Amino acid sequence: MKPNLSQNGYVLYLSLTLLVVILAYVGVILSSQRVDTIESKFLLNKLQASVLAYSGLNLAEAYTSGYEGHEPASEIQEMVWTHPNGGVIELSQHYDAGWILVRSEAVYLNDTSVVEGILGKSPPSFSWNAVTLGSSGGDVVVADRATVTGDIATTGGKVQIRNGGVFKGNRIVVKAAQLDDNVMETELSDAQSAFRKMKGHNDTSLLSASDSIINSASGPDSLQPIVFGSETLTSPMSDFAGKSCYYRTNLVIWKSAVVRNLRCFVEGNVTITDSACLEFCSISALGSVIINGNSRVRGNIVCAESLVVGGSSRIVYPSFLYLSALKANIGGSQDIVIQDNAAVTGTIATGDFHDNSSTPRIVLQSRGGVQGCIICPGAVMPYGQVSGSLYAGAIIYRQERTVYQNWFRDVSVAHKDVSMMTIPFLTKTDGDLSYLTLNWKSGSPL
Amino acid sequence: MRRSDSNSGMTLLEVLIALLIFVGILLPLLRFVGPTANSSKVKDRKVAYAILKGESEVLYRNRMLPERQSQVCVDNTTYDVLFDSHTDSMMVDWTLSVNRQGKYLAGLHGLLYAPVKRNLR
Repeated sequence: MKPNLSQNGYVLYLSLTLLVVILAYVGVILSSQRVDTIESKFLLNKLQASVLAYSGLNLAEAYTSGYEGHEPASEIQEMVWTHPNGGVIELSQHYDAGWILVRSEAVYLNDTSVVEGILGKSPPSFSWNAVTLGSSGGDVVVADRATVTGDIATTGGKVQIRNGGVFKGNRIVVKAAQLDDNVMETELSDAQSAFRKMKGHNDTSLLSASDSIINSASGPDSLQPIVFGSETLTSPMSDFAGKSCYYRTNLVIWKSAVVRNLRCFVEGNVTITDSACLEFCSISALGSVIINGNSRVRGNIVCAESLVVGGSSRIVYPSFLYLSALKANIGGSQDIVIQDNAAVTGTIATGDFHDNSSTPRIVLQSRGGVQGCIICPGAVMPYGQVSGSLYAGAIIYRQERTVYQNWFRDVSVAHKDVSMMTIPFLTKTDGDLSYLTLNWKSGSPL
Repeated sequence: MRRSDSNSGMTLLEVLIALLIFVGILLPLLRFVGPTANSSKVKDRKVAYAILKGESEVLYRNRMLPERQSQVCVDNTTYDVLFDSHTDSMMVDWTLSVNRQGKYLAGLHGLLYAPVKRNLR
């Protein structure tokens, strides 16, 4: 009797289907098991990498704290500690500078963890934690071992990556920040010339400190420059009606003075003491300007040596603070310093000092705030918060000795449609490891 | 359905029953036999990861060394946490490992700077 071929074929078909189902099922299970295995190993490796990073920091901290009684700056040249499970911690020291570079690296399956930073004093003229925004069309440098994640804006310059630097973003070409600093420089130069011409001349009017310019013999419309012989302006309230005044010595605006519409050139220094209030004033000084705490200033301040905005003082909109390069290379620091709790609304700028000095030109201390624009061809140390735009030759962030300082991370610059740019420097916490985040949220006002 | 003497093949009903047995009983059992039995290892490794992560966080946050030997019970499974360290002045060279029934699961190794609590061990 013939077998039932049609039934046997059907059974054979079902048997093969059953076999395929079983094989597929086993394959899926094996695959998921493999993924789980890799994932569990990955987690452990990542944890080991993290521990290695902590170990590197601890090792460096030990040495900068005088580990075993040694003076770190003189003892460490270079130290490499190899982890038993792979990975390396490197400590290296800069001669005589007292700083230590720590770099912890762990490489594992599908995971690489690199932590690096500087302990101790930051090295002079070394690779800062610099993200350079080329306001002069120059190249942007991702410094040694710096990591930049995000976009870098340039005005045409290229992005250079130095030893070990990492750039993960895009280069964006933007219009250069326009600051006609020639106007400021020329104004101060003219003032300087005017002071030279005045010396030895007696045809200038000398007014007492208590005189109001409006009541003076020269009158508000006189073209004759008026020179205050006294170094102090003590009148509790003076309205200068935009009259130009020349001070051949220092100018001190005392406590609680209220000064309006003053336009003055000062050959020496300017001190605005506590609680003084200046409204719509323009001060150009060949020396330094110090605005003490609790003062309130609205107007333009231009100086050639240094400018300090003291704690709790307010520079209100629209204001303009400018440090001239007229006396460049006079020695000492020529900085604009915005101290703790001071607030500036407006623009802060410096001239182009045309040097490669790492000395910062603008220092924004912690809890100091700027809302507006900072333009500095030199270096800026923005410890406080900047709401607005920051154009800088370099951005520097450094901390005191024994405090771990990481490189910038998560840097991004977006030039989109938003008119304000916020640049808060946050200390984020990734586990216990603090790192600095430069977070530029939105676009440029250009 | 009768099986014909001359037809030694399975009937359709038998094939369907076999299919049900495979899908309903044998396939789930395959997870626990042979090369697919790694799930317990994966679970152990994840538990070890959690233990090591917690211990190392406490270690670095508080700069305190854990006990040399402790036990952690997860889902009725006991894991041994072993800590070993060598202290050189203020630097602690430490190793942390997790075992289950005497079998090594995972471990960590690192350095700790403990200037204040260095004499805890």
